[in-house]
Amino acid sequence: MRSRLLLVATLAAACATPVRSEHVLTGVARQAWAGAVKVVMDGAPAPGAYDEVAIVNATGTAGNATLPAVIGALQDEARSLGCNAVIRVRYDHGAQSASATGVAVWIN
Amino acid sequence: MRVITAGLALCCGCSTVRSSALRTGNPARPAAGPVAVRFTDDPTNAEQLGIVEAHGRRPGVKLEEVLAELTARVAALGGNVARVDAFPTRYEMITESYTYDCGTTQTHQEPRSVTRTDANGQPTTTTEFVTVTEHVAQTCTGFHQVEAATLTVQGRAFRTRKEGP
Repeated sequence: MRSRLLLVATLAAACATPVRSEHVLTGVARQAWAGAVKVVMDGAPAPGAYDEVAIVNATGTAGNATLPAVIGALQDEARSLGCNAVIRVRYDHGAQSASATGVAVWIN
Repeated sequence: MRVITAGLALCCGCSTVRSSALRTGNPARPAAGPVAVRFTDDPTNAEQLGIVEAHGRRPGVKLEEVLAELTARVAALGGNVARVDAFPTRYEMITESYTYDCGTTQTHQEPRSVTRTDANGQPTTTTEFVTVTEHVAQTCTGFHQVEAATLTVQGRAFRTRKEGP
């Protein structure tokens, strides 16, 4: 019983670990964007004309080491910079964590 | 001992950014000005000076630090534009060292002189042995396997040509 409680507590703590995200501006940020953020994976054709704004990264661990959690955080980070797309997105994962890195852009 | 050294060596590189560069173009003096960063297209009217890379262990090293190291390498080659070609993150299991308190409790007998006054009022000194328990402090080193992520940013250094008159 005690070990089960410990397991549940550990799992809950792991799931509660937020996805960390960060960015480095290489262009000019805009006001936060409330709309959808398009995701274009690395190697896929990029949309027409756009302005590069920043490189963005998101890393999730344990329960958040998933594609939806990490890409979702990447979109949120781009949205906060006023971007409507993240292009050249690369997704890498290990046994316990996963990360995505991409270029936040504003598609004109 | 060899294992300890390896463990410590692995841990020492946890929060440092490392980088390298290879000149592929004409020699140029290091640039003092700002370095622009481009991710999706090569700069126009520019000469490629070399190949650059910077990497660091995450999450100890921030994305900003890796990019700053990359642009510093570009500037050292004489460039003013860093064209980023790739930014992979590699995951691997590594051995990390840690220290913990492994002190022990030791018990031994210690002699003690006891002076008592007998029925005649005369003091008598005797030696008795008493049990003494004390904590012996000690720090031990342990090793465990952890997943390490290394972010590498690779690219090329460019120097834009000045526009003609």
